[in-house]
Amino acid sequence: MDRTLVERARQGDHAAFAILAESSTDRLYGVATLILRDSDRAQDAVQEALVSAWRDVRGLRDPEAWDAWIHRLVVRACYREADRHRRRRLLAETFDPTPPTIGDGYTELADRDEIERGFRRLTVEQRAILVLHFHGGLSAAETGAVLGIAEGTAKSRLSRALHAMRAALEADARTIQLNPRRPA
Amino acid sequence: MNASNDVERSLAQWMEAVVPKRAPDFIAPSVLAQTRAMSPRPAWLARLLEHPMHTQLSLRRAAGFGRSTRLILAGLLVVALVAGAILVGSHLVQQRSLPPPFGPAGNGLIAANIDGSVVVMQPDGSDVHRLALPFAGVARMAFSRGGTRLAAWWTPDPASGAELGLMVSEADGSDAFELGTTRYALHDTSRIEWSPDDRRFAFSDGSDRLFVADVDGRSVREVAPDATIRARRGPTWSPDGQLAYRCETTDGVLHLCVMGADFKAERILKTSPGTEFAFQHSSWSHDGTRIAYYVDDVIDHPATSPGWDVATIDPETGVEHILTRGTAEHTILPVWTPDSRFILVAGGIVAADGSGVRLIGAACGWTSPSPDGRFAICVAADPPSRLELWPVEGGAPITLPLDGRPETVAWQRLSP
Repeated sequence: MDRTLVERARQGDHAAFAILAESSTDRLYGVATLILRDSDRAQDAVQEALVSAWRDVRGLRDPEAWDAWIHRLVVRACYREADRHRRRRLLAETFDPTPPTIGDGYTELADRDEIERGFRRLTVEQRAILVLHFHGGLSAAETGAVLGIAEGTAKSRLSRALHAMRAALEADARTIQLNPRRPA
Repeated sequence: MNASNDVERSLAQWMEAVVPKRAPDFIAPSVLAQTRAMSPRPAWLARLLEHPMHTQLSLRRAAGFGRSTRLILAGLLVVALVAGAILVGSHLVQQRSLPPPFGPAGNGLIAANIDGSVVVMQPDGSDVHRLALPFAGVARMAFSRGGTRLAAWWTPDPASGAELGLMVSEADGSDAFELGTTRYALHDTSRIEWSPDDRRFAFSDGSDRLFVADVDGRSVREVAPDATIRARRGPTWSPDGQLAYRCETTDGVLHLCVMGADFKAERILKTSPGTEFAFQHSSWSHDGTRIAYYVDDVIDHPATSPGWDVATIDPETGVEHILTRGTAEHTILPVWTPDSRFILVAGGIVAADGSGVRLIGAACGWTSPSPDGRFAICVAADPPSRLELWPVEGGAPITLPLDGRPETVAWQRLSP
């Protein structure tokens, strides 16, 4: 992140914002796709977050906080997307998982499928904190900065999200044992 | 995979495997096309409107009861309802019998928040003096409606300034005390709203929790009677002690909610069609007949409107009147004048009968009426070291230069 670009964007320089937006899009889309597990809704979330970023860039007090701030906007947009989706009661029908990469062997694919199912059982808030930590590589303090919560709170929520993930995996394993014809 | 395996490692590997490496090519050009003709909001407005993030990990679950327990509870509920109705009824009668200081009054004093102090002056800018308060970093002060008490936030740790405490004093700064020891992280628009009887005030914090402070009892409590509502922001009082505020249900939908004067029940008065900022910081008219709020026309009417517009609703009938359409300024943060004829907004003065809006410039932030309703005062954003007094009925503003940069401004009502 170039501090100068952020400062120029805050002064209304749209060309500077364009560079920031173009350099952020891939990363934000990855985060949104992981959280929402739906490519169409992830596209909407990223677009909404970037439009919000331009609209509110003058409200960003510290240019160094651009990365945390833009991630916060995209996580927030994911929450809204999830809310809208939940309201439409279409979650189960329109789920569109990103297909896993082929070529790592059957066992690994089965594991990924299991992780995918477990992950989808989590709330969007739980997914977000796991994605920021395990995909984004953010520390608890950095995750807290993105989510607007204290470091200690981020730690406890990460712990609870992991606990929920383990519980979801165990529940999934029990389901498969009860229904062995279901593909693993 | 066995669930006892290293979940953390598996998660990281799975995310690495499934995350798309590139976004679709159209996203960035689409965003840039949308934003090219759009001006960023002023900094103060962007911060005012920042939407808090809900990070709760799970929703509260209702406790499960057996049939016999439910029967016992139902019996107890009937008894409690009868007793409650008697208590609430008597309480409401008491509320309504209070003589709230509504309506026009002689002009009072202007108070500005400068460098963590409260600076008070006459409406013509004379007799400037600083209140001697035993608290550091005093901010966002609000005088009670009768003008006899002052409540404000103070900053226990000025170095971080992250969390604030509450203080109350007499209007001249004497007999100051800290109200509770709780520290609050605030939203930029969190402000103190005194009740009509001057005995309480309400506020919402940065997590959109709603609190009512009992000044005489020196206590503060969160009011959240309905578990299906997860966020409450920007309370405003009715003359008979009800509260209206923006609320968000657990399904993410925004509403205008009303809570009874006993704080035990709340109802949804109006639901947003899905906008992000609707209903923030509504204002109940002093005659009790309308609640003013703003609608987000950027989303609701994208073809015709560049900003926000003001609407009112009758709390009894639920009938809404949109007073402005496509106003050029961000007509947000509505506040009624004491005579209920005008609604002051950031950057404008709106006639409550819908006959027009007078723009007074985007540089004006939160605008509030003088006790007699004749003037709207605001902190001018550029240049910052001054206040502007706009005659509500029309005319040029009066400028009050200050020694220092005011953050907020308030009126202290004096007896006419």
